[in-house]
This record gives sequence, structure tokens and C-alpha cells, in this order.
Amino acid sequence: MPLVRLRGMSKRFGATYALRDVDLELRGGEVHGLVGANGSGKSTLVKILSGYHDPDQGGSAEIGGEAVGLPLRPAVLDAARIGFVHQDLGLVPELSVLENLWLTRISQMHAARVPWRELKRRGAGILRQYGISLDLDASVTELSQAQRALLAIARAAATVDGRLGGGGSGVSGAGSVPGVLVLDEATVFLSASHRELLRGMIAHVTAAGGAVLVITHDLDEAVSLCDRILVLRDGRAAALVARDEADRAALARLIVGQDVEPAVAGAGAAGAGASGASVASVDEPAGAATVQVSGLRSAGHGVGDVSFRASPGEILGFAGLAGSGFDQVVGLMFGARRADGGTVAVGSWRSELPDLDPPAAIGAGLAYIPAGRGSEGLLLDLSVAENLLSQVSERYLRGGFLRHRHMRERAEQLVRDFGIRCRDVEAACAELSGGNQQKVLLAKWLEAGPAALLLVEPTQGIDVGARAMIWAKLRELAGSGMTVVCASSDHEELAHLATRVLVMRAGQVITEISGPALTKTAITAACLA
Amino acid sequence: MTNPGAALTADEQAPGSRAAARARMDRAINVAERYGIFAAWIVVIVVFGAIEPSTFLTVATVRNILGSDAVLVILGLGLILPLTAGEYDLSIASILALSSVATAVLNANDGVPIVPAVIIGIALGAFTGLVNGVLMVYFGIESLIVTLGMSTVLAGLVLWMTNALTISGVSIGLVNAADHTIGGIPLVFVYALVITIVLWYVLHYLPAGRRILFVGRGREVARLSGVRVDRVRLGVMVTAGLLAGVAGVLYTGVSGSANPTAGATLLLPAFASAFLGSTIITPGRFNAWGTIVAVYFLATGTTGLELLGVSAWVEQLFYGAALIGAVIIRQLVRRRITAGPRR
Repeated sequence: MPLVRLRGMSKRFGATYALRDVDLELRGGEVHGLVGANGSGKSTLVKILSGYHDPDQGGSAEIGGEAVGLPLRPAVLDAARIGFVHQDLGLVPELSVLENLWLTRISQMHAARVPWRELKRRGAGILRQYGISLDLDASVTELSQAQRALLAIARAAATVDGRLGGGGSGVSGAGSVPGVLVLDEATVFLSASHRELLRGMIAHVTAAGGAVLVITHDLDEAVSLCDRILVLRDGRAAALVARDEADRAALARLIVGQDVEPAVAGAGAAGAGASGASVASVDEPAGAATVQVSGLRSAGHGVGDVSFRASPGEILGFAGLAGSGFDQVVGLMFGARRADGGTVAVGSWRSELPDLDPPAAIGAGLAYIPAGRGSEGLLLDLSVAENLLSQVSERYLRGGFLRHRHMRERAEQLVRDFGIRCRDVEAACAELSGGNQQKVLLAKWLEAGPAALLLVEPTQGIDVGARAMIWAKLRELAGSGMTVVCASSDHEELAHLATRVLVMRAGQVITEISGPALTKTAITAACLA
Repeated sequence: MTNPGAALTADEQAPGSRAAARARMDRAINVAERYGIFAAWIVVIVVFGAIEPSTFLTVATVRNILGSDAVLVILGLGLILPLTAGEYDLSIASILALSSVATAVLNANDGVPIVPAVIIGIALGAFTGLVNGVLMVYFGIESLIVTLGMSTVLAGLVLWMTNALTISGVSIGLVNAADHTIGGIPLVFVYALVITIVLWYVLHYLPAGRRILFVGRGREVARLSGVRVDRVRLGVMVTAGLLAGVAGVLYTGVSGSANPTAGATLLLPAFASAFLGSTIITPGRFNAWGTIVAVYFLATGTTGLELLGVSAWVEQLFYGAALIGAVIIRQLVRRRITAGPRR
């Protein structure tokens, strides 16, 4: 008897089906994968499971063999011990680790007094059991993204274990109901060692008879973790694949619905992309320039004394475990965050880093594509056109007036060139899928004609088609003489793109990998070394 | 597509015409959203005109509305700059009172000639805006709190300067500059119209206007895109103070005196107009034409009610409800903008 069975799930928004007649069955003791491109219906299905969406008529749900009403109510989910880790993690940054751990419990508590001492003791026990070392009194703002993800996962796993329930004893009711742990893109921030912790937690849940649902873009992760994998495509179930039938090439084919060029299916030659997105021909970068960083250090961002040089035509990669500082370097060299010391030079231009701010960096020909599309990269409630041309509006000033019509035409051109799927250039960016937003972000910065492109996690959480398109674009840019610096925790991406990879640990560059030695496994091994 | 004149089969026709019908519907809704207020305005005029034809539908009433609410237009326009940048200026009406009173006291009580008095009055407004901006930018205090405190400080200052008395005896030169009419249209309305055009131009046709919008919609994104966010925030507060100063001086001119408690009563109408204005012309965005239209739409309503002899409290009810209503509409518009097309 499956722990959870959803049958005939459909969800229509107006005339379009986000999800059409999809079944999901989670059995005790299994790890179940859910993969698909952006817009394939993954998040809709998860939102039905979490009770956020009310599915259309005709579907049914069973939990523990008993029929339950739709939409699923919080009380039903609680009773069945279904714990979620959503993409945004659902932590309150201003609160402490302890308060976040017990967030649900405290907000539902009817007692006059919060039993802090007991919560602290049990909280410490939970973290210890999952092998996570975090200061319970630390504020979540002080944690790294990886630590936040671990906290959120531990909280969900403890919910599934029944360890976050009420009652005096620390283990009240543990084991009475096998639960379900739902991990929705929860692993994107995790390093290899953290992933081991995650595997431990997953094993813990399945050993107790529970089930784990893993929603991921990382096909290797899906293949290695999951017993069965449900592939969604265009809102329908494309296939349900068992572990021994699954390999990433086959999954990629199922996700896209056609043969995928090697660039997507695995490391190999560059591919133009399976989404059918045409790759734009860009003009030569205005002034290709060597980028040189010397003595970059910032105690607050865990970077100590990093120096490197990236030449025109080169894609320089940065890799490392979470907390090693690999993902901080590019932001610091752009002046997005303040460094303690060091210099940056672009061609003949040179600046002391503590004095650098983004306008000066942009003036020197740098472009910075941050990891946070919505929080740092794009103005989501403004239109696609406004975002695309935000760096170059001065160009459209004629006789003291912005030429809106010309701007619109240029934006439409960019939308075509970059294969951005949107209903209109006046549509808000928030409407677009993650992959299309990322294309807008890239196009926005390329429109400024930079000499060097700095990126952090350029394809995080986007579908394979958009990923292939962005990869092809970056290679093409480097081919035309642009200097590209790219920090990524996706080692396959670096192996595929980079000419050279600098691996960081504890704020220092410890290894440089280049040439034939530059492979995914070599990077991963160097990070762990 | 098909040749002109060729008959369409039913299958071909149905989806096409349905899509076309939907597009037409969307366009109609769009137009109604942008310009529907004009229809509502006509309804208001017709209703009051029918009830009170002898007093409401007169040139004097029109002139009165145009003149007495032009100051509110300028104040509302001053407000849309900080609002576009994502900041509140709750002190804007108190700045108006300060400039109004300072000009009157300097001119009528201290014998300062009217031109320097006017310049000082306007400069005081801009300076107060600068203080607001500096407190926000350099001390990292929320604009809501800074300007809330500032509004009370200024209210106190104004009472001290006037001993809580209305200052009269202001130079007739200022009164003429504000209230003189050209072809029946008061000069102060002309000023308001000019400022409307300038602000529309700045917000719609200048890169600077876009930068203000970017800061308002995502301060961190704007900063990383190279916008000098602090400069923009400082700039909008100074400009808001400057326009409030202009409005204050003209307020003294229109009434020929300075009332120390004027500030409090204009704050809410200014917010109501700015927010109502953000639901029309370019829905979802604070805009200059929307603001001036909203001011006169609301003024038509309140004037009509006054002429009906309704008590003064109805005006408060009217403006308060307008503000809340406008914010609700604005919220719905923004939700639709970010959620995607109507389905």
C-alpha cells in the first residue's frame, strides 16, 4: 500500500493545462524522483501535494490507503507527516536557528509559555542526529546558503520523523506513521560533503518506512538517488522510469521529448540547444580586455588573498565547496560587495577594490550576472523590454526624449535572438520561466557591450534547453574574444565550458585545472581534496 | 492566411474569431482601465449638475476648482517622485505649511521683499527634503519614519513661527502671480499644468525617470545594475521638498495669507490623488497625468458635495475612501501584471 497516491491530477489555468492527468504514487521505503523542464508541471504537482493548489475535478487522493479530500488540508498533511523543503527553504532570516526549527510548533502552540529549554535540548538532539553542526542561537542571516538548506532539510526530516511534535517526551509517537519527505530543488546549494549528509537523512527516512520525493534539475542526482523517476513533459507524465532503466541521456531525452545534443546529455561538444532557440550572432565585444585581480581579500565573505588573470577568449571557472569563497570572488571584483583589499584591472583601467562600486565597474567594461535572478538580477514586475534595455536607455535618447518605439523594436529583436519565450515584450518578467528570465538577464548585460562577463551559477535551477542555449552563448562570446569569469557549483558546467578552473578552499585558490585534465570528476575531486 | 474574399470554413473561423474577440476584449478592458476615470468624471458632473444646476454648472465653480486645487496638484506631483522610488514622504504637506508660513512671515511681518521671501520659502522646502534624504541615506533610516518625525517637527516649527495665528497681509504681487486669471484660467493652474508636463517628461522620457523606477522596484537590482541608488533616493526627496515649497508659496499666494494648520489637511488628499493617479493612464505606475486628473476628479466630487450643503466631515470620508479604493485597485493591477495575461 503506497503512503501517498494521487490519481488523475489535472490543473488548468484558463485555457492552458499546467498539469494533465498525472498520477503520483509514493511507496514506503522508496526515493521517488520528479524531473522535467521548467513549465512541465513539476511545481504544479508539488503544489497540489502541499495543498497549495486545488486540482481540477476528476482526480483523487489517498494517504495511507484512505481516501482524502482535495485540496489536501494542512491537518491531513501533518497527520501523514509530510514534510516539505521548498525551493525558497521557508526560513525566517531574522529568527534564530532554534526558532526556525520549531517555527510551526511555536506558531501553533496554545501553551502560555514557550518551553525554550526543552525545545533547545530536543533541537540540539535533532541536529546532532543528522550530523549538522549549527549554533542554535545563531540568526539565520549569519548562515551560508548551504547551512540554510541543511537547516530546512533537517527541519523537514524531523517533521517526517515525528520529532517536532508536541508532548513532553523527545520521541513522542516516533515511528508510528511513516512519513514523506519532499525535497523541491533543495540541493542546489549543497556541496558534495553536504550531499552526503542529505543522503544520510534520506536513508534515515526510508529505513523507517517513509518515502522521499526528490524534485531536481540535476539528472545525475536523480539517477543516483532515486528508485523510480517520474518524468513530466508539457504537463503530462512522459515516463515513469525505474532505477535500472535510468541513465541521464535517456532522462534528458524524455524531458525534452527528442534527441538531445551531447552538450545537454553529457560533457562533450557544444550544442546549440534542444529548445530550438536560435543563437544570436553578437557583435564583437567593444574592447576585449584582460582582467586581472591581485590580492583580493574580504574577511566578511571568507576570501583571503586571491589573485588571478583572465584573458580575452578565455572562460575562467571558479569551483569550490560551499563556504570556500569561490562564489564570492566575482561579486567582490565587481564591487557588488565591499572587499577589504586588493586591486582589479580591466585592460589599462585599474581600481583599488575597496573603492570600487558597480557604476565604476560597469564603466570599466565589466558585467555581473548574479545568482539571484529575482533578488539581484532582474526587476521582475517591470516588463521584459525594460529589463532588456535597462543598461542602455541613454542610447535611445534623441532630442531629449526616449524613443519608446525604437526601444520596443530592439527588445523584440533581442527576444528573437535569445529565444526568449514571452507573450509580449511589455509582459512582466515575473511571468517568464526561470530559464527565460536567465536569458533576459544575459541579454540585458550583453546589450551593454561589456569587455568581460562575470557570472555566478549561470544556469542554476533552469531547464536543459535554456541551459544548453546559455552554454552555447557563453562559448560563442568567448570565441569572439570576450573574457568570461564564471563561478559555478555545477562541475559538469565548468568542465563543459571553462578553459581553466581555479578551485578554492577556505578563501584561497588551491588548485588550477586546465587542458585534458579538466573534467567533472577532476574538479569535484579537487574540491574535496 | 486565406485569400481576401475566400470563404472560411467553420473550423478555421471559430478559433480565429474567438482569439480576435479576446484580443478586442483585452484592448477594451485596457482602455477602460486607463481612461475609465473620465467616464466616471462625466457621471459625477452630470449628477451634481442635475441636482444643483444653478451653482454647480457655472464658470465660477470651474474656475474655483481649477484654482483652489492646483496647489494640491503640485503637492501630489511632488509625492509621486518618492513613491516611484519606493519611498514615502509623510512630511510633504508639513513642508508645504513651512514654506507657506515662512514666506508670509518674512514678507508680512519682517518686511522682506516678496521675491527674496518666495525664494527663501522654496529653498526651505528643498532643504527640508535634503535633510530627509540625508537621514535616510547616511543613517539608513526608513523614509516612513524619517518623514513621520519630520512632519511633526515642522508642524511644531510652524506653530512657533506663527504663534498659531494665520498670517495675513502678504504682498499683492504674490497674490496676483498666483491668482491672476488669463482667459478665465487662474495662473496657479497654469503652473500646475507646466509642472505636470515636466514631471511626465522626466518620468516617461528621460533615463533618469527610469532609474527612479528601477530603484523603486528593486533597490538591490538597481544598485548592481550600476544605478547610484543613494543619489536617486536623495534626489527624489529634495525634489519632493522643492515642489512642496513651490506649492506652499503658491498656497500663500492663492489665499493671500498663511494658515499654520494647512499642512495637516492636505496630506491625505495628496496621497489619495497620487495613488488614484497610479491606477489610470499608465496603470500600476505613479504618473503625472494620472495625478492631475485624480486631483480634479476628487475635487469635482468634494465641491459638488459642498454645494449640496453636506457637512465637512463627508470630505474626509470621501478622500479616505478614495485612498483605500485606489490602493486596492493598484494592488489588483499589479497582481495581474505579475501573474501574466488574463486567462
